[in-house]
Amino acid sequence: MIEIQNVTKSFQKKTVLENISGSFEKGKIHGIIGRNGSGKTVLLKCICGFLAVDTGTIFVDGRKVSHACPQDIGIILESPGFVENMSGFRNLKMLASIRNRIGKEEIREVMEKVGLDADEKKAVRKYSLGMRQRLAIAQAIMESPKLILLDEPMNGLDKSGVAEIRKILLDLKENGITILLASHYAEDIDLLCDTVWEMDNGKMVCDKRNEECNI
Amino acid sequence: MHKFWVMQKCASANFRNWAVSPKIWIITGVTAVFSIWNLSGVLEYSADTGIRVTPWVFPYFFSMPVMYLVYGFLTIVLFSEAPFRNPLSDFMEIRTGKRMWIAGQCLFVVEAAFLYALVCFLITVICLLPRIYVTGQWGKLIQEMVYGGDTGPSGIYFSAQVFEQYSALEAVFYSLLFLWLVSAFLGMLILASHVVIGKNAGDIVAGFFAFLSYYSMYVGSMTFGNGIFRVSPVNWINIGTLLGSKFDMPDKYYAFSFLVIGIMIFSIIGIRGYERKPM
Repeated sequence: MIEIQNVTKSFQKKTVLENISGSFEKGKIHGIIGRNGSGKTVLLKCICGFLAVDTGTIFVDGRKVSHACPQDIGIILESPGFVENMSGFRNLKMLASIRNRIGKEEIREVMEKVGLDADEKKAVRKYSLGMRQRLAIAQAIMESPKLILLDEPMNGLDKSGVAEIRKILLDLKENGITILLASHYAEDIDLLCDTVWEMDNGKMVCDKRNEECNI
Repeated sequence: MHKFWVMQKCASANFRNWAVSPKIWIITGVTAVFSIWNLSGVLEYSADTGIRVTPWVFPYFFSMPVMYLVYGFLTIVLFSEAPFRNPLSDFMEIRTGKRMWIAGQCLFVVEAAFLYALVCFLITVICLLPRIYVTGQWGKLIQEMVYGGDTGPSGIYFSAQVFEQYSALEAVFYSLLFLWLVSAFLGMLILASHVVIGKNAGDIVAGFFAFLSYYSMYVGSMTFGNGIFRVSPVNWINIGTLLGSKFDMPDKYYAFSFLVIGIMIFSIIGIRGYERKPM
């Protein structure tokens, strides 16, 4: 599904990704761990085409990620933002209208799935951190993309919210969707991920806790 | 058509953010304050003489040189964040693709510039409301200001050439057109510079053009003649600087072509640059 070959990415003089390689198989949840600033977000941004790599190549579904974003991908990167004065439903409707694959009913369903009320008229600026995160997850999964990149998706969620989202992610995996999950929470990684990668000093290494990484 | 619609979605998302953006309200407020100040003399003159004023003062509105600086500063503030990346942009861009997203930002610049021009015009009309009367003609008060023998009581220069060359509605139309195009030109210049060179580069380049317009009105035109107006697009928001070769000035066709070609070139540079070097 994702093939990373000798990728290097630097910002000015700081090398964030240093000649990293690896592959992420289809239909699995792949965890990426590492301390703050270790390059997890940069790697996800390179995979979705928001950042151009300095050297090396990334393939998603056999297609090289270059000047265009890969098709059929859902993301949550850093702190999710929305049009603050619109309701959650209207935000999702606006985003869904770009690909035009799903209608109002599907948006309602996905909002209910993540624990949000689609009929709620409240503007997003009045949402709690947890509600914003749920909305961000809804936008990432609503069009059933083949690949989902999630950067700290459990941020701001309470215990029950975390449990609900974990269940959703496992359901998505059952449906053959590939998920890359960058998280600080060891429990998420242990419970959800089929493979775990650790980012450290610009390097990406297969974590000891599994034997499935393909380097 | 579908591509245009996707671009429009990206532009619309930016407009939706305006409602909660303090910057937009500050720009509108400052524009209103300067409009009241700029038009106060006209209103006083109208009150003193008892002659009501038509809504067509707008073509003379930017004749006072300091207004170029005010306009330039506000336009730079309006477009200073181009290409307008915010956390929502990630969700948009992953769906539209990079090219469509940045093209949507270019479309937003053009549309926002049009709205800005329209708001500037409407604010002048609102400021004149206490002494207004509506007719399709220039009206007696503006005629008196044009031929009054001085630059008018307000500091606004009522150009006889503009008065004679255009009907009131034509002059308003061209003033709106050039205010729109110059704003779009500056916005696109800022966007392209930010994408290709880096943060703040566009503000500096646009700031240069704003100062050039002020300079052109004084030292510039005295030193280099009216020909300096050919390279100073910000001056063209005042159609009194587009009187043609008879006055050794650019004409409206030259200005129109310059601005439209400039907007197209900067948008291509911005789009190509963004595709190769994401923000």
